[in-house]
Amino acid sequence: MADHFKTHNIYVNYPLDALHLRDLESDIDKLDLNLGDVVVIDCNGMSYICSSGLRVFLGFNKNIVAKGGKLIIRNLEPLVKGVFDMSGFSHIFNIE
Amino acid sequence: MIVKISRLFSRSFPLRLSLVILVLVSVLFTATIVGNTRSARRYVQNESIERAQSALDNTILRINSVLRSVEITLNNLSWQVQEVLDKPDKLYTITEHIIQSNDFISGSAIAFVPYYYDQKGLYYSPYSYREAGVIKSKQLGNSDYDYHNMDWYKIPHERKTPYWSEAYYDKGGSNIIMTTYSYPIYDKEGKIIAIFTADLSLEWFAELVNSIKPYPNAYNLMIGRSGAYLVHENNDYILNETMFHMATASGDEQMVETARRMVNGEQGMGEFERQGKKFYLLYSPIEATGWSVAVACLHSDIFSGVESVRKYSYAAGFICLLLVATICFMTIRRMTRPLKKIASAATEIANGNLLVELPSIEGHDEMCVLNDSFANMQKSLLKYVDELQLTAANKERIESELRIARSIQMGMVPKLFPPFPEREDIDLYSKLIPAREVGGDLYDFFIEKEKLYFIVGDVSGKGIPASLVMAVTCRLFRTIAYNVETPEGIVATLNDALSESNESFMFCTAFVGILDLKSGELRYCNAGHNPPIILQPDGNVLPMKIVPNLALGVWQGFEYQGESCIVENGSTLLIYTDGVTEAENCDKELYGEQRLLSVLQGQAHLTPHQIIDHVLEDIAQHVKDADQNDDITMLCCSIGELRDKNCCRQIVLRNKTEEISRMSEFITQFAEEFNLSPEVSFNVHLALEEAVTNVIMYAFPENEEHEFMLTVRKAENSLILNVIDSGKEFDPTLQPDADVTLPLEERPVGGLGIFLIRRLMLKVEYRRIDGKNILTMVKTIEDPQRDEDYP
Repeated sequence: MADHFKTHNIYVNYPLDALHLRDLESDIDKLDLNLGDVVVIDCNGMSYICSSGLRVFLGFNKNIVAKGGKLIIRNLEPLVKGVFDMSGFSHIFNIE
Repeated sequence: MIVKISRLFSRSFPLRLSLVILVLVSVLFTATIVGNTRSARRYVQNESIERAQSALDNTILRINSVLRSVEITLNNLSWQVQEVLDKPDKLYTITEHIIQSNDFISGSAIAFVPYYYDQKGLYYSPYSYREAGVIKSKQLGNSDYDYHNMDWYKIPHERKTPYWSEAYYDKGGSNIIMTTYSYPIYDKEGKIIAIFTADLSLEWFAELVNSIKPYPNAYNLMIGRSGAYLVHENNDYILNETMFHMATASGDEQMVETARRMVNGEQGMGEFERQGKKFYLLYSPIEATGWSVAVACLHSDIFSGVESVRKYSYAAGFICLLLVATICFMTIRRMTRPLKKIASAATEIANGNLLVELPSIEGHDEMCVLNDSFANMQKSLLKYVDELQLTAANKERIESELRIARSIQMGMVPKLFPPFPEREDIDLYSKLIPAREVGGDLYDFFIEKEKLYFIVGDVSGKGIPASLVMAVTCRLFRTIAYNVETPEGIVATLNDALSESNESFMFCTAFVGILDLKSGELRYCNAGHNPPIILQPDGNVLPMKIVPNLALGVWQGFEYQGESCIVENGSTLLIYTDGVTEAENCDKELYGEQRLLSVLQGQAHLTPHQIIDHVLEDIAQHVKDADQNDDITMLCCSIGELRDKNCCRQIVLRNKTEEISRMSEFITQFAEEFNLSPEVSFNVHLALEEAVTNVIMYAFPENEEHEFMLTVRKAENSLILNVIDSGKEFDPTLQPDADVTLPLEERPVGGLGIFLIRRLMLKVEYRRIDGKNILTMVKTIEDPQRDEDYP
């Protein structure tokens, strides 16, 4: 990973339902994203994700990719991973 | 008294008829008498007038002849006066001769103009008169008796014509009432030299006038030119009273007019009243003197004959009428006597004594005809009663058989209610009301292995044929239902059994259901029956959506399609036959499904028994007096809250995003209570949140606060989720699936929610009922295979 590319970390340790979407969105808004920056979302403790959450992830991912960056999702719980699989997101996200 | 008499008349026909005849005859009689009397009066009146008139004419003729004789005497002797003018004293012989020659003349004078004879002076009037039968003479004029100023001298002198004076009392002469005829005498030069007079006593006139007596009470009168009485019953009136004065004093206008006519010299008839009596007055003039003679006849004198005849007529008439009435009454009574006998015989027959003997009537009149027809009626009545007794006996036999058949039929359906007193989860009531003694409707139910099996059916037609098919169907259902587990299996087996040897082409519609009392799942199969009605706990009432299939017994081997649904706790099922919706009133108006639905609206809290009674009451109000036209059957089953206390949960949410956390808690709670696996719980959470978020975000206008409901029920091997909101209509099941195979750049941000729900749930259904969106999602919970089946 090149030095001039910054890596941002976001921790989602809460169930991502409609109510908590704003927490994630404000975290994303706070980021000072530059071209080619990498964002790592650590989903350890994210016991749940709703479709709106998926939409946020999708929108964010598109945004980063458009700036030549990369979104990495980590530590998905199995059930949440199931949702990512079912919705076909597993193929378009970098899931570690 | 009057009431008694009128009752007597109203009850007696002879009396009434006699009365009518009496009244009629007496009217005719009275009219005849009145008419007769009237013409008799007219005749008598004319007759009497003629009679009186002729008497009057006769008298006037006599008076005129006397007056005429006086005039002639004077005229004839006037030439003698001229002969002896030169011998004044010789004139006495003329006057004496006058009196001698006419018995009516009581005095005669020749009154000369003043100083005709110088030697005789101012007055010279030789005068002769009758006194005690002897004729005497004297010179009349002197200063005391200045005849030149008297009417009898002055008027003819001036008029130069003969003249009859008014009547007067002669004081100078004979002191009697008299009149004077004056005749002027001329000399050769045509100059009046003397007035030649003759005095006439009116005593004799009075006698003559009073001799007119056409009737006993008639009286006469004569008036002078001024209306003064010259002849009158009362002598004091003579020359003292005038007819005008008397008439005016008594206020009798008619008499004044009569007097006027009389004075004018007219002839005629008048009427007047004196002392309350009516008089006719016939009058005629005496032209020479200008007097008028009249005869007054008493009205009652003229008509006394007519009056008495009239009285006799009335008396005779009255007696005749009494006779007629009595004879009428007797005759009619005798003629109508058989009528009384027939009437009493009729009363006997009416009282049940059909063998009563009728009166024997001879002849061929109407009475006899009536009696004959009565006898005929008696015979027919006897025959009819016999037939009636026979028919009644037959009918009684059939009816008793039908009663037995009815009790057998009623014995075939469960009748003991409540049928499951030991159970608290369901209550059931049913009612079968055949239109006739027996009917073709049927119902049956029983519980086996915690499942309620039930059937409601309607055999085509009514009465005994239908009841036989009903019996067969009922028995078959019991037998089959114990061995076949699905409703479509039961229905198919029933259909095959009934179709076999169905030679009379009877068919039967039926609804067969199996309700799982643990899960609330209702599996059912419909065979051409009308859809049952579900009363939901919130008060909504809706007919079930069912596949009609085909009635039983129509087509052997037909493949029946079964269906299933979940019955919510607190719901009530009503299965009924078309006798309910097709109940007709007198105007052939059907009761109808709409009315049934509306009468059930909001009645879910009632017990099945109350619901059925409620519906029956409403049907009765619709039908009113019309006969029941079809069998009526209802089976009502309520599913209580108590069936499984832990299988149902619900929460009311508001349209705010914050409510998501309440929903999450709710899901966590029931997941724990229902002992759901983490996967199921996670998936349910995901699906529900999608649905609920949708409602919160889009169902209601912004800034308006609304509530909506979320229910979860655990069935045997599934979880039923309902999201119910009253927001704008939206069917999420119509939304297209998101394409999950697209690469990142082409993936749309939306469209995932419904996709996820579809993937996570076994079944997703949407209904719009009563302005509400109802989204039902079913999740299998005992099928781990399915859960792991994610792509």
